[in-house]
Amino acid sequence: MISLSSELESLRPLLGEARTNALLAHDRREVFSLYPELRICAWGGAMLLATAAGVVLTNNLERIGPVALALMMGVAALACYAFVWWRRKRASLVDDFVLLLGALLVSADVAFVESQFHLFGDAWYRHFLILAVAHGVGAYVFHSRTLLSLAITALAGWLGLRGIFDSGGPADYAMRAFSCAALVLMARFANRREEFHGTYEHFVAMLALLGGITLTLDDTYWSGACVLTMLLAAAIVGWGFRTRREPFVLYAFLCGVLAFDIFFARLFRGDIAIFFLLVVSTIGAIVALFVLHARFKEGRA
Amino acid sequence: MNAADERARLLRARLSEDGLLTPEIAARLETPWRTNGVLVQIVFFALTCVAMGAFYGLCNVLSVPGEGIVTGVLAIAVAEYLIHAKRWWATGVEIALWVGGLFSFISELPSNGTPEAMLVLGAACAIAGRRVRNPIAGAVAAIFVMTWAEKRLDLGVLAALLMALAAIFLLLRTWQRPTTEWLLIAIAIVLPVAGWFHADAIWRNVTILLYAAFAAIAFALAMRKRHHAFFFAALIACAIAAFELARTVAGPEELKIAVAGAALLGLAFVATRILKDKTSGFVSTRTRYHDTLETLVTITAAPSPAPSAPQPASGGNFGGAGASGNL
Repeated sequence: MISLSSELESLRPLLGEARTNALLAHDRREVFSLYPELRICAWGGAMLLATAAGVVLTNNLERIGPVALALMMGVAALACYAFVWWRRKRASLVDDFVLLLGALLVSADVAFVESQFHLFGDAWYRHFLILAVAHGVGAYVFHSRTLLSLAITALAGWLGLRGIFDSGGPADYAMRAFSCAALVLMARFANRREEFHGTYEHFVAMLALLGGITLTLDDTYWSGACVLTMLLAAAIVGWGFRTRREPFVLYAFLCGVLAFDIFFARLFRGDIAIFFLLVVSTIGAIVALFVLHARFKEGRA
Repeated sequence: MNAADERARLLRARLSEDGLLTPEIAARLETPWRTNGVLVQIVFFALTCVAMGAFYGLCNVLSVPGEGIVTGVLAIAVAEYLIHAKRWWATGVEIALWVGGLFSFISELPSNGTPEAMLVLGAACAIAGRRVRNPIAGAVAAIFVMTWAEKRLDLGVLAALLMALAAIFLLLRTWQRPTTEWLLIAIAIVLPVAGWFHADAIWRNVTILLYAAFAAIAFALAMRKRHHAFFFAALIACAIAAFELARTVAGPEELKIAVAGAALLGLAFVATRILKDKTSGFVSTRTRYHDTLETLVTITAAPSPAPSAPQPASGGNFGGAGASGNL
């Protein structure tokens, strides 16, 4: 076990008596938080219960019947929401995961109802819109970023970002990703809850980059798409610097490098050129990222 | 990086996380090394692996003789240059160069498919991990040794649990280097999972007993010594034992999954309630130095100098006494 007591003692004049004593108490494990363990237990429990619900729907369709099963799932989901609402004044870490379980049960139930009763016919994907609205409302009622993520994911599903190119090739898929990014961006500007800004912004960045990278696979628009992706990546890196959030910088930079490589790999043919390009561009990317990271740390300091 | 630098880096990171890193303290904990956080290390590791793979491929298509040797020598030379000349440490680049370099050497060795190849790969990871003091490389080396034990002796599960148990007991010692502690934590947590992949159905009852015993030992030590690694090792081993036990019990699959899920959620709920108002010993709230600090400052109301660095917004919006909220 690591003990930093000696270093903390040496910092006592700088930290002050009370702070040093508090830090030492922590170092000696006189206060020991089980928060991470309990969180993992609660998350694991919620995931297992959601899985069990899925297996119930699959294995008991003929024995119980679709109406009873759908009702059962609905009641279970409602019970989860009611439990969290009832305990909202004294919420603990478990409540977040009960809420997540409720949302997953709602998703499973809506999908099950659609698969059994075909309420939307050929436009079956519209059930994603119901889920997006339901989870979106839930997110604002319960102040939950997890539900907001589920809502945006359902919105993306409604817009056709489901499988890979299941509708009309890379260009179509990219347009859907860009549309989704634009919708989420609008929601970000309309949003008044500050704790949701980050979630919206990450989704906007990722959806826009997904659209850009997907478009580079199109044989007609690939060159423009590579340039567009690099521009998007540069803008997101700039945003990451401005808002002091490094994950934006990291994934946008990687997408920019990927677009750069795709551009030149499509331009030059032959294994030697491609391997050479990869070596040079990746080493360049490492150096550039190191510089960016150093600047980021300087800015933070 | 020596032990003092490693410890200074760890303390600096913890104090920075809690907004207690004033310029004076930062200057005291300054080290000459350029290091990265875990996320950035992963990105650099991946990029370096891509560059090395491309270089190996380039040598291959150019028909350079001994491309593995060329790549290996170059990679290790660059890694050592970065460590000695540029003072790069735990950036993600050096470990990728060292592991990739040694694996490139190994690619030149004749292969006859014997299990001892696992020991060679394990040795490469161990050497690389030892050189740059990377706990993940060390844990991967232990996995290779366990795989050898499985292939050669059919004792993968036993080897995995013995190594994990050894790591747990070694964790009871006070270590000077944080990297040594992290290596032991990685082995204690990863090896039981890796060993499980080699568990044979005919030995199911023995597997359940072994994992249950491991979980009991880890849990007993966790309660006594208060270390997250012990709790997580116990949790993982217990989950594996329960999964294997469920396979021996007849009954609907969904019922077994639901019972396990309800048990976990219930356990978290009950433990949270029991520990709700506690501010010392085991607590269920998220505590870091900052929260502990608030607790003691609140209780003792002792005068203390205000930190010159501003407290970050992530320090919580309400609460205190080990219960900061909205973190």
